[in-house]
Amino acid sequence: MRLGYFVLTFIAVSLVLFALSRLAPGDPVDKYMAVDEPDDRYESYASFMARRQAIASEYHLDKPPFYLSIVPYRLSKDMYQLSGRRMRKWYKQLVYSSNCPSIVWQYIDNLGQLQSFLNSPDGAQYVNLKSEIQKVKYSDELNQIRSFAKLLQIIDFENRTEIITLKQNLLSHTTSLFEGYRSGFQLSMFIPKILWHGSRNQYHHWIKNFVQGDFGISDFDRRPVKSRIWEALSWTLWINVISILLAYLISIPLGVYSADKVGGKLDRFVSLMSMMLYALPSFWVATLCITFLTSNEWLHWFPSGGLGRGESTSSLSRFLEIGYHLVLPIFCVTYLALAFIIRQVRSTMQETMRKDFIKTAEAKGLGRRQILWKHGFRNSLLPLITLFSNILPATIAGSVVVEIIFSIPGMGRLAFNGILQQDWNLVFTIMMLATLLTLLGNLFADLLYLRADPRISYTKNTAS
Amino acid sequence: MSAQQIQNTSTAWQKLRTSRSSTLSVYFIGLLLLVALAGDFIANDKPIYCKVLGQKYYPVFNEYAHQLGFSDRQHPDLGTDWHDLTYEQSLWPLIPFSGSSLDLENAYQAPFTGAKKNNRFKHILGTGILGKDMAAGIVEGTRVALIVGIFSMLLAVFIGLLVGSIAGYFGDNYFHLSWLSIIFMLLGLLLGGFYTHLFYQLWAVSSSGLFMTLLLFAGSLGIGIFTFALFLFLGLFLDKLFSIPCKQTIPMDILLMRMVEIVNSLPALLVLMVLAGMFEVRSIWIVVFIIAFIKWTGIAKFVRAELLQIRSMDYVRAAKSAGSDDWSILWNHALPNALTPVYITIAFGIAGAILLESTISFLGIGISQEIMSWGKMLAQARQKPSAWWLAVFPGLMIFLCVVAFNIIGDKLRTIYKQ
Repeated sequence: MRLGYFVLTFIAVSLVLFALSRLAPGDPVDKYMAVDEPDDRYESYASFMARRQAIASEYHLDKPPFYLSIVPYRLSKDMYQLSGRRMRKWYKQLVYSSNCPSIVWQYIDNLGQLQSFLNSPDGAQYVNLKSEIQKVKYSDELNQIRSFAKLLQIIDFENRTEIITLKQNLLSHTTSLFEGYRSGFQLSMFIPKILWHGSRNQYHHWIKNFVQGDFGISDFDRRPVKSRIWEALSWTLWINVISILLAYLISIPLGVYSADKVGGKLDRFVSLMSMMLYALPSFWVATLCITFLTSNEWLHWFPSGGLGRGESTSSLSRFLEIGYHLVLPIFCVTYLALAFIIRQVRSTMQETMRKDFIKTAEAKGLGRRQILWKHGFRNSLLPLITLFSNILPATIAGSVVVEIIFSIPGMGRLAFNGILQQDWNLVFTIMMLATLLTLLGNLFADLLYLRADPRISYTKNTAS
Repeated sequence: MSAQQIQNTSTAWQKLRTSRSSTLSVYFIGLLLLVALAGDFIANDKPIYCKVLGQKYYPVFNEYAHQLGFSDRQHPDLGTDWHDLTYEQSLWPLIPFSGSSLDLENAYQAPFTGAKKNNRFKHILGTGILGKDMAAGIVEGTRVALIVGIFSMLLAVFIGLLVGSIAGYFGDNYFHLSWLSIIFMLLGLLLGGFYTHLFYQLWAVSSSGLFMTLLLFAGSLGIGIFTFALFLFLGLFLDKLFSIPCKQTIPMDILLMRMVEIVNSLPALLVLMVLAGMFEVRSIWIVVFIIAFIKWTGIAKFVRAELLQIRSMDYVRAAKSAGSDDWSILWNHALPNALTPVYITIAFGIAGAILLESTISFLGIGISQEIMSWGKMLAQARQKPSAWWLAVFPGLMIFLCVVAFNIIGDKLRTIYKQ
């Protein structure tokens, strides 16, 4: 039952993230093509389009986005042969405003051929037209289309017969586009129709590859996303695991002894401290550390970022160098984890100390130390262990900023750079992995509870 | 609001001020609200009133009028800086700078050292990059922080209350519909989505600005929701007409709580960074919307837990046996009693929203370039680590603001538990 929920939630999350990734700006096909328009690198328009198509099919971008799509009755499946998101959007916008899909199709094709000609040595003399065509491509503004048609009309292509036919075709298509636009309301645009695409769609391939561990390549440097993530992951994990362990080491004694006397001095101190730590923004602490501990004007105790130059010969000195560079980042993540954990330790311990068996132990005359550790702490251990699986995703999220500030090549910095470079494939893979980690953490915690406490069950009615 | 509720709020208000820390927090937040509202009169690069060459000007008021479209900008010597004029009389705001006004001669000045025009205009908290005044930035940042905190939570409360109350009140077993209604609802959902998309595509032209785009989107969404509602009511109407029994139980709790879990499992900061980075236009309102989308789940969970208890209370049963229908019980009886825990989550939620906003502003994503925010001011410290005032003051404001809201949240929780 619980596993079923996990799988369902994962599928739902993947759908949400996939939908978001489709909204990201930029067009992957355009990015991979490196050139925007058919130029002299390609022999003909046909070979340019063939190259586009090849790239699109390599990354499954020539397929419909999802298993089914709901489109206006007028549109047909042909639309999905257009490769690239920008192209499709352009096509759809034109169809929506003119109501005639077949004409739009030819208009787009002819415009591409004309551009191909203009970019070839023969067409180089028509500079004016060349700059205009760039404006009208991907444009759905009718004024622009009209002014382009007017310009095209007055240009004399001498005796290049094929271009002259192309020109006449384009002009007639433009006229029909405007006729369609003027005809106004068309019922067939407002009647939906469901297209079924089967498993030949982008989502299917994306999720299949993700589950198999193939995350595709980075839009930015064309390296496999997987290897980039692997490199970054180890730094993030090291920092976080060390920080969490440190936080446990600090917070357990504090939490246990604060439960000795609820409302006592230590208890008040601990609760105040946890609240303060909770409100301290990690980027402020990190900035303060950099300002006061790494610059020459104050104390220059630590390096301000990075992981050192890595010039040292022996592995031991390299290890020490890295450790030296990681002191401040680990400090910043530790206090974050501390704020989470200390609250939990305190409340769990206080709850345990109210139980009857503590009273029994007190009545037996056991020492305070023994009661606290042997009877109190041991019985609050379980929630603290399961806390680990919840805290890891939380601190990894928190360490994003710390990594960026101290320029540590971890996952957070990778994601941040990915956003700045519009490397959406990388960014969304990281989001998927982070979500998966959270979901696994929850699942693990629940299963552990289930094993430890037979009274809990996740069957119907008792599910919390 | 009934008399009973007014009394409840006022006693809560009194209780809120029983301890020193929470009283201080309430006053501090009141002060911040005041600063946010009256920010233009506290920090501005124009005088509030001045007399130049025998003519009187009210530049701050004039700017408001200009922005609302009532009047032109009035300026004695158009184009020059207000600081450079010679005045016969003038009344300046406490801080004679705006958050983004430049003072190129005084970049990175420590507190109290820099001043413009022969010591006339002092930078009391120092300056940052390009001589931007820190004190003025803090005033402007207060407005940003509170706008983000309050408006995103308002939106989150709206969504959270809706989802949480339905999930908690109806649970898994008490939401019944007929087959016909379910089919009509699904159809409405399908068509609503289709028309939202279609109308947005029809209307949206690539060159329209952010405001226009948002308006168009809202319009298309309105059409979509209208379609959905139409089908919903059509289904219910047909049920009544042919008296079809409502026998299908819909597990609202499971469905809605799965939705909550999905949103909860997304990494909040990353989602905010990615979504804010995806928009080509930057605006504070985009940030508000995204934070609301991330934060509503906490409220939904609280309201649900509360309503699960309230559902079995006697007064709900009494109302039910008196013949009230579910929706009016939910709205009139159950929800008003579930609001107290919502106040707690609002207090913590505002703190969290302010933290999120300042984090992405610090990273340089999110709100538009012209507006100063605490996070952005703090980011300047990274470019010049030796300028300690850049690192201390804005961070302190974020910290104090977040602590104040957290203390109030804690206090509300103790009051509620009593």
